[in-house]
Amino acid sequence: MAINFITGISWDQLIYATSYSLQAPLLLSDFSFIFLFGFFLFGYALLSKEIKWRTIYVLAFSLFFYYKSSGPFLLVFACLICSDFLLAKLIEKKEGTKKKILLCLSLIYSLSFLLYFKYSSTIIHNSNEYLGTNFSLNDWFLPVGISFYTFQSISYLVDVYRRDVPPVKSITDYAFYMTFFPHIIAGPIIRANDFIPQLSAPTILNSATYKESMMRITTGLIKKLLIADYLGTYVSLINESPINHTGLEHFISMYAFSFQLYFDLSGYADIAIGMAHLLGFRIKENFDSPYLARNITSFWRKWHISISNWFKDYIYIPMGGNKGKLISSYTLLIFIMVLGGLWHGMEKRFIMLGLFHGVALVIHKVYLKYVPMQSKSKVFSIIAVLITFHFVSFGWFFLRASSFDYAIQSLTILFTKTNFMQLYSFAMERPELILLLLISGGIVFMPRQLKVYLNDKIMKLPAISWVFLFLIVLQLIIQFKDQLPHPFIYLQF
Amino acid sequence: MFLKNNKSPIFFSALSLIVPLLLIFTYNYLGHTLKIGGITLKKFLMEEGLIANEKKKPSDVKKTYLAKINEEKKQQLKEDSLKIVTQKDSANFIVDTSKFEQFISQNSEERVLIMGDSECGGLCKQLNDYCIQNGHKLVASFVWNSATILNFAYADTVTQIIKKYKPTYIFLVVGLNELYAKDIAKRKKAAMALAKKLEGIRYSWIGPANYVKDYGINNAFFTSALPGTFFSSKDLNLPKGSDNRHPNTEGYRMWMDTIASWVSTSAKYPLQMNEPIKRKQGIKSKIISLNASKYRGY
Repeated sequence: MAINFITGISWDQLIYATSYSLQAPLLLSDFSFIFLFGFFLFGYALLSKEIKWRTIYVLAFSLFFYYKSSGPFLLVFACLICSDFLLAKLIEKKEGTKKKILLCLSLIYSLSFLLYFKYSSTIIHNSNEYLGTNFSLNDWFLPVGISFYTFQSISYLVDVYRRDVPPVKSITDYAFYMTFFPHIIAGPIIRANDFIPQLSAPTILNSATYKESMMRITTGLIKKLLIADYLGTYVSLINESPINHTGLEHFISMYAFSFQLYFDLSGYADIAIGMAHLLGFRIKENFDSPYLARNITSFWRKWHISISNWFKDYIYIPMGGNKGKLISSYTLLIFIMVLGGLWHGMEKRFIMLGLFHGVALVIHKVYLKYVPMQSKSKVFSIIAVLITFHFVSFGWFFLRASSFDYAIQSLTILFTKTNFMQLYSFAMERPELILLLLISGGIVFMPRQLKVYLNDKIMKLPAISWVFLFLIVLQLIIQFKDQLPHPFIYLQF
Repeated sequence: MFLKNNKSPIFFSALSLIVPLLLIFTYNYLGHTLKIGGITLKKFLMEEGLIANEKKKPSDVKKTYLAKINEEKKQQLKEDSLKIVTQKDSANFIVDTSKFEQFISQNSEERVLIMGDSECGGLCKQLNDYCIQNGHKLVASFVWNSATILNFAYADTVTQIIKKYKPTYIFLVVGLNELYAKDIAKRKKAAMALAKKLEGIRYSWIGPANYVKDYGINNAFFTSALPGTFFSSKDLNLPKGSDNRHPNTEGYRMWMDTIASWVSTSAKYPLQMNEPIKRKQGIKSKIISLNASKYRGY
């Protein structure tokens, strides 16, 4: 009975609710988290005018959120926060070579956590495999969000070094900036000069902000749990054994993965931005209709913007950027893209992904050199968008495949065994998937003006209607969550 | 309206999130389901931990039967397999050796289906060798990577695969992905639902070869399967693969040898499983692969 929900909570259940799970970290999109966030907002409403208490309250909640996801690894994070805070103060006080050395040591220290947790397992595995060593590798675990908070830590230290931002005065403020729960697990990476000033600003939430926030959270849930997860089941099916599937299936799974990846990442970012808005904080957009990009350079300006900018501002430009000789700037560009690939993991396929995009960026730069004037016709735009989208989608094979060989296998089948005559029978067998792909395509390629128009219409809905809309979306997610694509559809092809 | 002159719009935001979720959670606890336009409104599975596990007292654990491995049969196996069999004898799960009725099939040649999580992917190759040796037909191997008992119990995939391949004997290998699961009561419920799906088919349920201590999932499966159908692998000492999580090829062979020894002599549903003379024969039947894991970003 319903009453059980309230009264039936035992001590064991409470302990369970407050314990962590390394296997299944708490995500912003989990219903239990959204429920908890709702209760958290009550307390926030009471404390929102007292800035000091508001900071402590949000910080405590953020730490709890991270503990739920990574348990004892919270200590690693706490160590990094404390050391960053102190090192930044020291960096500001020093001058000249001492300052430089201190920055280098700080960066090495910050990066050591990421390198240790992210790449040790690969190094040990390869060493055992190829050098015959016998290092143990028990229950290796990568702390959630370690890439994002390490990048954020580096950006802060470098910004202080460059005097772009003053060091944060209070450790609570710095810890708040680092741990702010909406972005901690999957970004976006926020910069100190964008975020720290907001800490002392009063919380302002009006009807428009409320509606915008609810819309971001709701659309984020639709993108992540309804579209991305459904497409993901089909992608996994094909990905598990590429050789057992036809070219057409690989073709369709290519589109499915491109959409899945975008909806997954941007959906999560939407939820993060929506939740931050409800608390009165602004987080910059992380995606700007990337699949509408007309070329690969523009794509990287629109895709995972915070990461792209981080690589540009903290690696590409300090290493010379496009200031040096043409050949060295092109080499640097490829190097940065390979580095970005390696960030995903130390595997051949990720190096390939980086090379694929790096070389494409160079080719595009060379092209622009010889054809500086671009056509502005609609037909040209559509063709350019489609070419860019397909190019990027082919590249994603190296991201989604479980190994380099599998990626090559999938691409070979796609290019040599695709028979579009099978499309009709495929659509008859998997109408829901095709429908979802069409809807996804419609959303992804929707013209900007139409998006703005629809957005304005939705924003005119009365505030109370968001409660009902939210309920409908939650039930829709539940309705579709367990529906798996038919597991042996490929037998007929 | 409400928000225009509202002093606490944050309260309203909180309610906007809590009220719909409260309705969803409350509906989950209702005894009946609702329909809108002929469509049944599904209930939210409280997978995210709001319903915690119900800890069973030791006295509540139903005693069941796990057959001991026939000593004679052990002589046929390789020495390394024998070692693990010896360790098996000390397994905690042999709690009661009371008799249960053995159902010996009239068929000497069975249509065998193996299904389970990633460990099934390693076992199916070994089972294939056994099937070829003993005249059984391995009709399909269904490897559902990263799947848990919840996937097997509540998706209709298992039913559809059984319908398609019409096996007369099923090997089920599941549990590796839920060794740390603490919501045992929920998983036990799922295990019972899965056992119900298998009713009418001769089966053997193989517990996960875990290298770490589990929080009770083996016990949950053990008490859900029919007496004499569950083979506990939790105390086996199998060589690990490079990921330190799964057995390596030798480990899978040793594991299958042990299972074969047990299933051919002591299981509730015995199956002829003489040791294959020729190993590593290619699988000619279908291997259906699915992945249940969620993409989680970086």
